[in-house]
Amino acid sequence: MITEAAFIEMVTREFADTIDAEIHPESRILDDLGMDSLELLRLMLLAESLVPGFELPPQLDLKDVAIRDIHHYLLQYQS
Amino acid sequence: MAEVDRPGARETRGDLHPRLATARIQLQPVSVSDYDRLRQIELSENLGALWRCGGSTPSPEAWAHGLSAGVLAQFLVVRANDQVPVGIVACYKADFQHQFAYLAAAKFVRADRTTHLMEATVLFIEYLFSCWAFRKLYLEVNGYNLEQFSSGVGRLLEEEGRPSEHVYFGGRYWDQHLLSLWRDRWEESALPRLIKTGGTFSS
Repeated sequence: MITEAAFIEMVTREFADTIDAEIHPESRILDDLGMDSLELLRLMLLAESLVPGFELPPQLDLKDVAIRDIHHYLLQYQS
Repeated sequence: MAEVDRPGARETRGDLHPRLATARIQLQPVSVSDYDRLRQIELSENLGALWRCGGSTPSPEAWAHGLSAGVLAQFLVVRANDQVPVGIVACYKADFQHQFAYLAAAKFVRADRTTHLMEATVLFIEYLFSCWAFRKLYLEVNGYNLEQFSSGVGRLLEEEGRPSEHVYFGGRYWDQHLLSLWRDRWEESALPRLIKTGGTFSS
């Protein structure tokens, strides 16, 4: 089961060339990190590489979703 | 003898077939039975002014004719878990002499914040590059839509033209961005590899 720190390290490594802001657990993916649909898809595929078939609950307002939330849902989906 | 027929060839025919589905979405050809519902969606408040009809309301017959006019390939994007259509992707104005074509995608619900349409678009691009020897694909992106994938401009996508105040929508004129996606840049990016491997990163 991947830890939050390991997940953030993966995200940081994968998005190092496209995200200017520093990635913290509480970083919100749209407002803070400025991800658009294309990057969000890359993030989903990154998460899916850990847990096949994973996806964020569609009812979530992505403006308020933080990296920590994605890790949280990742663990929920896995369990 | 074709590469795939030689003993020990790395790729099998299964690898070469373009995929039309992932765990989350499926690309389905448009059927006649889809017409009524699709026409309602395309002429709805959400899409009517933005998609191919540009705010006009053609007759059912004219709409059905226009659906495939100039279109090389087109699929409904359907959620895999409940078969609900969430969008449409289309390839049009294909030029086989010069090996390019245009790509468009639209989601049916404006408030849909899932990655379904983007994932379908990635799958569709892979399909187009797999089925035809296009050198590049063009996207005509109106200014009000650019922010959805602006991270790709300069990296994956190249802006080759920008007619200023080219389209009228919402009471004002907007620039149109002509973006190109070159085959080699696409193949070098992570997205086709991710789609092919079902979302598994490999170094």
